[in-house]
Amino acid sequence: MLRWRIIATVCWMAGGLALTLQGRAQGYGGPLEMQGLHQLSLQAASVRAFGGVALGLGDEVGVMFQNPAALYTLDGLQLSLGAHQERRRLRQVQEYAPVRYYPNLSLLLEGLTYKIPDPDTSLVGFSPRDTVQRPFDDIGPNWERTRRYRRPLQGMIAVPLTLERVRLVAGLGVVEYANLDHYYQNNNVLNPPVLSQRPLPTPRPTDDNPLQVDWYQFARARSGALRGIGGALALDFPKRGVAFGVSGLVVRGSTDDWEQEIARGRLTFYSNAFRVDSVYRHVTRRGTSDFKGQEFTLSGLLYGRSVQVAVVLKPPVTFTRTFSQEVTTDTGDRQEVQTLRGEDRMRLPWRGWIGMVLQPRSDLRLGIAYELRPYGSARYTDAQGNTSRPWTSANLLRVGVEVAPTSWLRLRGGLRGESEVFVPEGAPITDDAVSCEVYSAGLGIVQARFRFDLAYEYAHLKYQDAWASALSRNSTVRHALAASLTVRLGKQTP
Amino acid sequence: MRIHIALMALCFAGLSMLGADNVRAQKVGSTSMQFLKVMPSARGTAVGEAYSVWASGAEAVFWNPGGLADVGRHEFSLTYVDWLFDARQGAFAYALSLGNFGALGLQIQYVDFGVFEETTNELPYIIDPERPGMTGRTFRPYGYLVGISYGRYLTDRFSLGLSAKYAYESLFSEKTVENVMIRQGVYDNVKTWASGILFDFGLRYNTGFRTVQIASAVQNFGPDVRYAVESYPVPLLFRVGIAAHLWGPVGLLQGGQETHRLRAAFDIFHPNDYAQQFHMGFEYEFMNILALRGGYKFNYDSDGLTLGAGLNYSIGGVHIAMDYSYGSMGAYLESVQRISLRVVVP
Repeated sequence: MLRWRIIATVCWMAGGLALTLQGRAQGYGGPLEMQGLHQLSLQAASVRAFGGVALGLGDEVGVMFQNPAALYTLDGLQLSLGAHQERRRLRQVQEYAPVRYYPNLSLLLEGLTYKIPDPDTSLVGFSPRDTVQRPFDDIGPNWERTRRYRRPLQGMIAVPLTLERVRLVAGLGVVEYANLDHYYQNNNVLNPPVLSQRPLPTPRPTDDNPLQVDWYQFARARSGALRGIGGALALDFPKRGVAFGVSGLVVRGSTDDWEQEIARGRLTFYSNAFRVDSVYRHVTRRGTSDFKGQEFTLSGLLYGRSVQVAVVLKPPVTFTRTFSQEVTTDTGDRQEVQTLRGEDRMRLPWRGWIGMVLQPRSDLRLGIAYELRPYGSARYTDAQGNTSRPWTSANLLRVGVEVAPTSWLRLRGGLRGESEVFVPEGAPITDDAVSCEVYSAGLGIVQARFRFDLAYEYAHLKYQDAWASALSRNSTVRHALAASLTVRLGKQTP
Repeated sequence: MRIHIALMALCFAGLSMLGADNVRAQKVGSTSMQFLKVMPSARGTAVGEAYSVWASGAEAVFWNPGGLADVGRHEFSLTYVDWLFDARQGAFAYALSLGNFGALGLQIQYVDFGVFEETTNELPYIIDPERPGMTGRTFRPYGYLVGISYGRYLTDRFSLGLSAKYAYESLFSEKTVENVMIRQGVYDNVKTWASGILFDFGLRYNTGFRTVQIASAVQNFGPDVRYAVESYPVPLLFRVGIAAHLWGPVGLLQGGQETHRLRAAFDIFHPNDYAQQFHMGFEYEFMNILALRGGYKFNYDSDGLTLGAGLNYSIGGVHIAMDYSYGSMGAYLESVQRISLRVVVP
């Protein structure tokens, strides 16, 4: 509340008039480009339940593309299939404070001007000009959206081999590499973004030199996933307690993209008054994006009786997106349809993680991992060849625990950090990526040659976009279930 | 094999340091109950808070309940913290050995944030022309924490611990303030305090190679707490550490030293409201009587160098330790000082 009050006292004219927002700030969302590419999937249900620590779970083929060296634990042919479902509930609630010089603006943007009666023009000093501006639609400031989906997560097979007295484990897999689902909406976009707090300074409109601002609702959505097909190889040196692994994925995927702008009006700001003019303009962009790329993973693992330590590295990779969009612009009296095609690229830098699993007893495992995501140096090249670094870095911690109360049951719990690649608008620290914790729980049931793993994940991402006289409270609540069935053929690990 | 395990641990700690985040902060100012990040124990803070491994006995309840199993028959710890401005903190811990069943711990912390003069921005906000905005009233925020802990050895090398804590923080002298504008045109009564049940979990592992030990702890795991109209998470803290004797009977660099011991510790610290931070500390001990300590806290806004000293003495078999620590807080905040008393009844 105090923070809100402080913001309420900030003069909105301290906001920026820049047409381009700071690269890493979210702003009002911007067009669809590479959104979702950072949302990498964890394929193994056991790993998800274990807090995302892809280490120390033993006899788990699902770590093939997270930590290929960990395949060394397989002592027989293993086949695994998995799927997941997710439910996301997104909300945005906007709160406005009165703006100096333009006291009715906050009421207009909050959709509250209907509460103010028209002035009694029979009274001295009042005229019809004192009428409060009304919006030209029934769009409120807030929105809420729920999305559910089910998708296959992985199909993997791996088999141990011996070549020239060297123990190998080779595997093949088809996986969901990344979940590209994305949604963003803002019902009070102002262009130019006069409520932005950066950059400074901004000119003051005057009666002779008014400022025109487009006011519209903006929404964008992407649905789809990236699939990867590839293989992995692990080399085991049991005498030294060391294993190495490499995996490669050919990544392909297609998404359905949608963007929409619905004009709500045109605001004209004078020195201490503003006017709203009705505008009819609907812009809809529908299309598809086809992504392609390759990813390699290198990992090394030291293992002892009670401890395992892993280092995993992912070399730089470039993802290319080929997009095709049909842009429909409807201005009421005229409708235009354009087709846009192009190609943009995102080059991701070296990434990786380090992890350690302690096993004080055969029935207890404790894991911790630290993921390095220097996405601040990821380079985006747009269709015109312009390059930028739009993402923000964040390193993430993961912890997990696994308990086996009986020989056929494993109970798991975990906690892992998850981060977006943008910072909230108006964030006081400009490299402060939006992040949250993901809580997970799950179990594994082993019966003869079969193992069934189930994981449940809960995350609540909350952040605030702070404008010069407003807050947008954004919230995403996510519930996810992942399950995998693994069949082991050959020797079984006790 | 023992060397192997030690190398693993060192490799993990070293590689973690490579992952030092250049980002200045993550979610800064987004958590409540900041007193939970002010750590008791003069010994622990003198070594740069690289204390996840060395925290044992009664003091372990503050840092890593995995060290609680390492306790005498009875153990007490009392700390006074002269925190920034007028804030002060007191912490008490008691640990009781249960023999083969592990150990029990109790902790009580109290924080007094000092006296604040009340201000207002509601009309009439000029009651005294000499002091505009001041109501003439004062209030005294405070917080406290009460917790119980349990720790035990799972094997001769592994110990685990768990704590359950109740934390309370009051921001104003009244429990509720009536008729407050919480939004434009919306008035309500608001709560000025918050409380929550929090949990700590920790472990400690002796690698068996010389004196190399590793430890990890998760602290303040619990739900968001609510003040007035908003909920905020509490500071969720992760610690991963490694420690060893450099000089001493089984020192890594030089063995056989009985009178001079030098220990070193390194912690990775990951709070949920800041980027990763790193703690490094050293402790030199002379004849088990005098201890000199120093450390450094990396990737902090103001914290940095820490120094301290301790005196150990035994009277009739009862071991008594007095510790002092100094922590630099930069040019503007100056310093924080702590005094601790530890009593161990073997």
